[in-house]
Amino acid sequence: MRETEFNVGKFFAFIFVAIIFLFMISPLFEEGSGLKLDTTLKDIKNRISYFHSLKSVKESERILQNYNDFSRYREIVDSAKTITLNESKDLENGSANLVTSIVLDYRGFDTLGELLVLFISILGLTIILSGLSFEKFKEPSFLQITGVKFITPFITLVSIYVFLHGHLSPGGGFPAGAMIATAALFSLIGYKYNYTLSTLKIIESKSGFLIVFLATCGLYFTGSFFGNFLPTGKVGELFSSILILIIYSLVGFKVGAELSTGIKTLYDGEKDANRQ
Amino acid sequence: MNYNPSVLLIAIPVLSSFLSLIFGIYNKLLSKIILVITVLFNLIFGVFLYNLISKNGNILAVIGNYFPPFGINLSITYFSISLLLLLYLIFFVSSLIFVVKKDERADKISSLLLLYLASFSGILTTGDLFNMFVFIEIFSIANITLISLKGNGLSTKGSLKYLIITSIGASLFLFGTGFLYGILGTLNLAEISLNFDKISYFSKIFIFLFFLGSIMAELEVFPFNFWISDSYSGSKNFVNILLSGLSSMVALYIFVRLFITIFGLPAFTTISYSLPFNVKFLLPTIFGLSVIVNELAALSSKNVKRILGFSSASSLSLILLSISTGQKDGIISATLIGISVILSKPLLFLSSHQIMKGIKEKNIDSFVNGFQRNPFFSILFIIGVFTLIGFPLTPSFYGKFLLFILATEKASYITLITIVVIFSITIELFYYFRLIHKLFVPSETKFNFEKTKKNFVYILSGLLLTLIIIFFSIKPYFTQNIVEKITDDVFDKSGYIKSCLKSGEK
Amino acid sequence: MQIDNRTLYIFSFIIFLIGVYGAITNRNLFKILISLSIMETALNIFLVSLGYISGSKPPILSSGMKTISPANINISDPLPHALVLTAIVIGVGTTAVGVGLAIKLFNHYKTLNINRMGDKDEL
Repeated sequence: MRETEFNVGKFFAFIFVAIIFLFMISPLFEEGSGLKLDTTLKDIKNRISYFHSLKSVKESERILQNYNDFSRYREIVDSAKTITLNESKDLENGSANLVTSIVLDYRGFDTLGELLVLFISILGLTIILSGLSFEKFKEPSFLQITGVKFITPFITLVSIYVFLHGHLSPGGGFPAGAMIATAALFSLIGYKYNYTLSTLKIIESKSGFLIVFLATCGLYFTGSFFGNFLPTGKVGELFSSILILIIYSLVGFKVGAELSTGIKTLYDGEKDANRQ
Repeated sequence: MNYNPSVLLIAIPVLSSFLSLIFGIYNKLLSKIILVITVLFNLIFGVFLYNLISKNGNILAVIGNYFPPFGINLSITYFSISLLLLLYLIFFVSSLIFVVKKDERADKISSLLLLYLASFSGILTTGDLFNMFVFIEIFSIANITLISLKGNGLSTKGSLKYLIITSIGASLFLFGTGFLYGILGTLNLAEISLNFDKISYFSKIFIFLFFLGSIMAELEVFPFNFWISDSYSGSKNFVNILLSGLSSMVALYIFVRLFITIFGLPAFTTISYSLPFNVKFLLPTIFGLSVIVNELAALSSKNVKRILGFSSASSLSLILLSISTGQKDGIISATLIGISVILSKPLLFLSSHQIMKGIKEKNIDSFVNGFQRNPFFSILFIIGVFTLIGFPLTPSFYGKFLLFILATEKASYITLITIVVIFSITIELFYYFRLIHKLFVPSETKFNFEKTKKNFVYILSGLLLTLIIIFFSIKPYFTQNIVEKITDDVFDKSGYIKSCLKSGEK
Repeated sequence: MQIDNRTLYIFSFIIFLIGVYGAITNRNLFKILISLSIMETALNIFLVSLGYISGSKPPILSSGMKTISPANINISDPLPHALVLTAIVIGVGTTAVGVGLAIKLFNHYKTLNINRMGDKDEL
């Protein structure tokens, strides 16, 4: 079909999409009564994450137990204490990065699920492409090999820094894993430091096992899955929240190994060189 | 009641899925053993939790020592644990069938199956909306991989279609979740259910339609049912069992939990009117149409697996139709039909696979002279068909009968439901009896098949399913007791909220 | 210049619908997968903009913001950031599986057009 021709299918698709658009923006311009999506969000005090930010969940729970009604938490927003960098200590978790405290402590179960999604999709990729092997495009040139030799150690070093400082600064295990996978991609391009899929499989399954094992240890020590049973320390120091540090390091290894497996599988197929 | 160790229903399968990969390096048999042991553990622990819930009411399990609504929690009710037990049974049958087959990728597939187990346990027990989304994603990726296991063009195409549909559905689900968080400031299901009535008119429509679209994509309902034809006929036998008996029931659970317990449909007279526009006519129309379309598709296809796939989609739509009538009796009949679908669909897939064994083409002509070749599985097939259609004394009979009575006494949409039910039963009778008739036709042309080898696991699991069906049929008071408890639990909005948010006292 | 949240929401809706339009009209498998990724990106923009408060600081205690207290809290909502982190990883996983399936289909049918993928012995 030439492009100048009037395409009926595309026209109807456009109409369909336009109708959905009108429908989607209707709640934003509504003037009736009732709770609505904020057009200009002014305050986070009516969100649940306010308590996560001020690390005052345990304190609020203690107050709410007297009411025997946990849905009245908005009445006690002012009961939280001040948190100061490098001074406050022994809080619920010692992470200075509030996003990390939500990701690995308050909503750690979601992060476990997220790890499982990545794990299962890479596992699925290796199952789907099992037995296939692709041809390589080109032999790497001298420049590629030298550049890869030069740059790979630095990328690995930065990624270690990123996952060790996940509770203090932006970053953490997932970006660090992506960086490790970039290093793996470089080493594939300049094939000197090649790796095998079976090694990666051992790394990812062992670190995944350790993460779930630590979470189950929480069930044994504190009576709740993902419970924090290690000291939390002073906010803002490197060894402040030990459990988050350990879990984020393991996440870094696991994500790095998984993404490298994915890249390698898509690059040369699932067949390993050492597997007959 | 607060019982934190119930999270082991999810944690143990996840742990053993990693273990299965680690031990699979040394021996593939070890990972299969780990799979079977874990399923048995979940089954036994599930029975334990069932007893606990029957005695003490809903279980709340907090994660990370943060009580809801601050942290994520699991809240297990009678409905979820009883459905979970039935699904574990189907999963056990299907994993047994997987275990006896030889596969080079056995360690990876058993790890995948364990994550599948963990994900549907998570969906059925979680009390947090975003957590449910994460588990749905694990579940659908596991389904995609399982459909593509056979590795030919048809199965890969089917799984790609499934991937596109489910990722659009997941996007809609996440949009709805984000909207709810933006409006109410919380992700906890109990608190959403408490405050849902306060949301404004258009936002409610937005949230309702987005969640409906996402769940319909998972549920094989009419506009989204085109992936069935490839994914059922292209996939392996144990995957068929999982897809028909388990995967659709999980999606059905999400529908019931979200739309009845959490949001509250307006058509339901017993609970509050929370949705603004008239769902009373919208939902029965969609689902009734879906029943008819799926039945016609099943009637017109020649491939046996495809017939069974479309038939399971149509019985699912019938369940949805009876839920959307909005009466308590509707839910009861939906539960009855649901029990018979969960038990009979795996039986049908299993026995038809055994009847057609050794014949290359898998269409209806390969059923010819099946009774002489394989009398045992032919009898199982006939039992399965009778259970599904609603032979007197089976749960499905009571369900369809109740639905019929409901449709005739209520004047508003009497015509639609009656027509749909009669139509579906007639068409189902027609194509299933065509298959049964083929079983007894003596073969005119000689098929080139070797004598079918008796397979112990197939016989065992077929007998297990048949015995459970017979048990449900000859003990109607037992069945009635379970079904009434489930119905009460589905409508118990305040009890759900209370078990999550008022658990402060010890 | 101040951007209010409504503008961000509308932008994310437009990007989402571009993805939907692409997924409906394209016949090439890779273009469909790219459209799905566009939809996921739009979702991430929507989720981030749910937590955006104009003029607020990032939710990290550092030398720029040493204390937070109920009286003095000027941060954007950290919970949507955590949700987006999860959503991004899920999107990566789905895309990886989709690309693997597309490669396998290309090996089998030698084409990426979904209309030309059909076997003679299918029924």
